[in-house]
Amino acid sequence: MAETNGAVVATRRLTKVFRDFWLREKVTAVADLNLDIRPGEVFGLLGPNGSGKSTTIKMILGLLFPTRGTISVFGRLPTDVAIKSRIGFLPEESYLYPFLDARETLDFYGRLFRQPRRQRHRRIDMLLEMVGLGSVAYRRVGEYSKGMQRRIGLAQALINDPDLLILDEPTSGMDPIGTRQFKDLIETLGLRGKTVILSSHLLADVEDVCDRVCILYGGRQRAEGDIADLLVRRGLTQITTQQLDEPTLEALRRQLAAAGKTIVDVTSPHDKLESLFLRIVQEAQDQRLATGGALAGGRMAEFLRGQAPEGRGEKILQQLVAAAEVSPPAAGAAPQAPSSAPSPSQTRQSVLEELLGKDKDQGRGPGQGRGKKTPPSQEP
Amino acid sequence: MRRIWAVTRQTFAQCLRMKVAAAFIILLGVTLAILPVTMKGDGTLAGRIRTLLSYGCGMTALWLSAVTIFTSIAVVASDISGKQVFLVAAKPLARWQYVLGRWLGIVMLDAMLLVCAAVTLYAFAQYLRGQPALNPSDRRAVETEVFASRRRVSPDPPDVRQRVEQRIARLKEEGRYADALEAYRLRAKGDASLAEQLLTEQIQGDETTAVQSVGVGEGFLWRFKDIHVVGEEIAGRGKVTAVNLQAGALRIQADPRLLGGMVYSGPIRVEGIDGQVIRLEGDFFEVQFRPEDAQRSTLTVLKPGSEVALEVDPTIQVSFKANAAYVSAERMLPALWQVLNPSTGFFYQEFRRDLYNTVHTLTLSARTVDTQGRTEIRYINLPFTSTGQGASVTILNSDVGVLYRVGGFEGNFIRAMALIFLQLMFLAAGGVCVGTFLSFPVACLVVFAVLLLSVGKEFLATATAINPLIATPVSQYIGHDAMKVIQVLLPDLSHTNPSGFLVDGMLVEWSYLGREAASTIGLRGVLVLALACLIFSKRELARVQV
Repeated sequence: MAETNGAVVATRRLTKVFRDFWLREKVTAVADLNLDIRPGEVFGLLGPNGSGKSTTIKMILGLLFPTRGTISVFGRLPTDVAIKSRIGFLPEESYLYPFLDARETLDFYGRLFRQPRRQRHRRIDMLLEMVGLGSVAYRRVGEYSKGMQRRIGLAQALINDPDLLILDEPTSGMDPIGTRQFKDLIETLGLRGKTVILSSHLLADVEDVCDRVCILYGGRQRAEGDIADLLVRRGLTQITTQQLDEPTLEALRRQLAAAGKTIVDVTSPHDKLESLFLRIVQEAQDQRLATGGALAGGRMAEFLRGQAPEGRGEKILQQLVAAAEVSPPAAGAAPQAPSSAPSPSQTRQSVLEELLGKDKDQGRGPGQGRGKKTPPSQEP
Repeated sequence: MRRIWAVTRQTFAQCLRMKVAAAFIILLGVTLAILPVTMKGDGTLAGRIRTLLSYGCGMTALWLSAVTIFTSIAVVASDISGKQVFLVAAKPLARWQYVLGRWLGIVMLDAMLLVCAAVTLYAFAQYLRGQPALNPSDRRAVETEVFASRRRVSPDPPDVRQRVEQRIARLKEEGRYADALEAYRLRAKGDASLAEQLLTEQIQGDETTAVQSVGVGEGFLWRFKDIHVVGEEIAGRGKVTAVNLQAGALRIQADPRLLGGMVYSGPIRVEGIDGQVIRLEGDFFEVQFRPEDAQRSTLTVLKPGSEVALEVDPTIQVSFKANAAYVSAERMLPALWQVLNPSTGFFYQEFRRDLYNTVHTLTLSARTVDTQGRTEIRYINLPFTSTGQGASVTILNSDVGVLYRVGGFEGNFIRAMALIFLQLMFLAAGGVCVGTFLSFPVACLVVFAVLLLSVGKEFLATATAINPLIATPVSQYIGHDAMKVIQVLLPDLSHTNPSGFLVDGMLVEWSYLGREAASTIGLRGVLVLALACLIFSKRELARVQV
């Protein structure tokens, strides 16, 4: 077992060699890989095709066994079934059962996590709405387009609200709307302290969401570090301001020349094509134009935002909160100091924690802090 | 357990939605529907029902075995080749739980299909049972030989020890014993004691054959024990159609099932009064009472149209097959059968002419058996003609037996279906096991080979047996040893074929079912599943070969 240093995934000199029929070593898919993926980190595995990204992921999941070296996940062997309840996995292809419909698919995987029926059904509803497949939930997965299958694949990976989410080429086959939502999701999960491993060769996706990356080539680690450190172009400074006219630019040039510097490039910043596309689709959906495919996904599932009142507690909570919100203050009651009066959302949060605190932390190991980063304020 | 159940449910749903399973289910349904229409058997109603049960069981076992093999392999092999197993293995599900869940899913499918097939088969059999029989004996055969579960008792083996000793003594007296022994000494490779043992066995065989043959006018006497008829008398109601109490007789119309339990000259109780069946015809029978009983007021008030309570004693059957070196032109062997209750002296005799070399059944009242379960049956070989011309008749001990009812058809039918289920459970385990490491077509080939070896196990064991007295090539030893391994690893699936039991109305004993369950599933099925779990646990699911 590798020395983990508190890492969620730790590998030491991890090597995988594929052999031929006669057991001769033919291809070294991964060689001497040392990784420490820390809790709450969005970690990118980058590399061209055949660089060893998927092989590494399969070893993390126990689908392949290392030829040499060690690997630990949550401090245990990857083949340990106990750690699987904390992992969500989206493979490079969806690999779903084509004869099941979307709801049955999620129900099956939910059952493997031994989720109570009510919680499972609630999560399925939320996930289907989130990935925009609520309206086609009873169509067999085999009839879905590739992108729709990716969406349902993502939903199954999230059904257990995993502490470690492993995504292998997650946005392949997905439309730009799905891709954007995907990135939002990863950001949110990262903010909630979840660990995400993202394998991709779509560099823009990785750049947008990852904290750290490891670049592989030929199975070997070529670079690793914080993405900001790796991408910063030292020696250059970029200033963005309103559009400048020629005299102003000329004045700038003179001032820089006096300081011994020159302007390297002057351009107008472009909007991203992704932003343009999303805007057009949003307009079409606002006009309710017909489509047989996936709709833009709904809001992110509450349980993934860490705000999900699930199961029995929810009704009680709603009743309590509703009562607090509707009841007028009693006549003659002394006004309370603003600092001591909890707001409705604070009330709700405290009751939620009291009712569901244990349930929410189910499956989380000791010392795995949830709130490394502050979750975005997203009141339902 | 909930995780295993999740896989089981998913497997069951998958199998139902697989087109291959649907195709087999349709084929099975069509086959079972066609059988009762097309199968005529020997023309009798009993023959038609027997044929239906025989082919129905055979087709059910065959089709369901094929469905089981294909689906059990497909659910695992296609998961691996289609990589769906990546997602499943990434979930908190132990590999053994996956294997067990897959197996249970197939077993659940088998149970459902088997229940459907069994209900269909039972319904068709009952439909045929309601059809008119050719004659009363045909009806009797339907009710007492098919829709019954019977146990068979063989006669005490012939005691030939005295005859063997006499013959050896005669050989020694005539000075031929040493010559005879010399012939066996060669086969025993010089071992004198083995040669003596072989010679004695040969003489014993000859004498046993000799006592199982009788000349004209001679007879056999078989003694049976352990006959415990547990079937109660059949009770029902009948309608009087004619009254002749001066002759002490009534003619009564009765339900065919009640008529099926009656035998000519057998006892019957009408309104609690003992009588004897003197005629059976269609839906009617005639009963004769003793003169003093015929005058009892219970009977004298009866008129045509009166309803009466009927009780028929249980029956036993004597099954036999007689052979003769020479037969008359019509190939019939005349004989007198006498059956005696050794305790009460109740005696039954019947003159019969039976086709030679064919199994026949003699049905008679269970009163011929005493309370200790004993009866004695005597067979007297009669001449063909009045001039005394006849033939020597051979009836082997294994070809004669007493059959007696110990239960109804339904319970036996369920146990018979359970035998098929055992076979399917084993095949499902085999399919899941090879599916974990072989591709679909190769795995199918392997399991079908296993099925053939398991069904033909007895034949193969005989074919590869080694006679220690004959020089044997090395290749034969290899075949023999390979067969020994197969004997241990594979169950004998010919034992789980229930056709023979149902066709002959023979009881599938609980002990037999238990033994087969222990041997097929408890031992070998579990072994195969454990192997599957081990292979699947040690396997790299995402392995690629380069």
